[in-house]
Amino acid sequence: MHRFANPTRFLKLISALQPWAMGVSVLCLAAGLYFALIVSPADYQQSETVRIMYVHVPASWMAMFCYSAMAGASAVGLIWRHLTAFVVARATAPIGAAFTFLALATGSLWGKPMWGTWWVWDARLTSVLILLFLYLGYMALEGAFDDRSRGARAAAILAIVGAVNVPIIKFSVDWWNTLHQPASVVKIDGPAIHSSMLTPLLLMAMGYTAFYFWVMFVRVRAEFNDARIQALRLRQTEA
Amino acid sequence: MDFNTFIDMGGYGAFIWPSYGLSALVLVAILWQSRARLKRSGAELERLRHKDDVQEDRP
Repeated sequence: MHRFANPTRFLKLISALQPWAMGVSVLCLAAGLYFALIVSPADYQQSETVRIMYVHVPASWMAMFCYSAMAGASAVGLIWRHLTAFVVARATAPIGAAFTFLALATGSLWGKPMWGTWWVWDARLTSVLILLFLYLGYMALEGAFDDRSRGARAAAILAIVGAVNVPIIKFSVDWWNTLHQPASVVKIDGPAIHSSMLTPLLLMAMGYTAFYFWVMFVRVRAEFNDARIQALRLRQTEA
Repeated sequence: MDFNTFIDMGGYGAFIWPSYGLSALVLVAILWQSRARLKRSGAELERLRHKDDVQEDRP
């Protein structure tokens, strides 16, 4: 990991990985959509609305995955003072926020026909809403300082403290009474879901994961460009 | 399976299609915005580097 704290080496690595992330994302999403909308059957309880699962569950997983990545990168940045880690955290935040918004919105569209309500203040839904606010708070705090490195450190602390919310989201369906159904894929005794539904779900999840890396790489490269632009401008005004 | 039953989705099309549409919209938007930012910053960097070179060439 420390090898890639060097920005030049890191940039080279992500520039090489970016087309692969794009390829995996596009292929998995295309195959995933085909299985999700055409091949997979309707659910015996939820009928066709189960198809919302294929965009709702991957978005929710990514909401938590991105937050964990952001908090982890923030911790690396604080502990080893690797500026590259802060850049990764900063690039991840808006992508994670987008996935969290999608988890909430598609959940709402699934809740209306199945539960009879768009929204309910229960543990799962509320903790995911808090996750969205944590992302937004991170982005606001990060940009609120004239000194970027101070902003990065302040936001990193927020990200790390907020990480306590991630296990709360995961176990909220077990700890509290909720309308939300419990986990059916990530379980100790294996997934309780038929392969005809697991295939599109995993394809979409892989597509979403690769999509995150693709967009994150693009944003990290833009961040490095911005830093260089700033340095050049400074030099040119001094000259 | 004909087109209309596919769109109707057992009467739940009004919930299923917006889920997929919104997901596509949001993901394409963030991808597009990120790529535009990369392109813009890359062009600006080139411009500044060129300026830098010109300045350094000066006697």
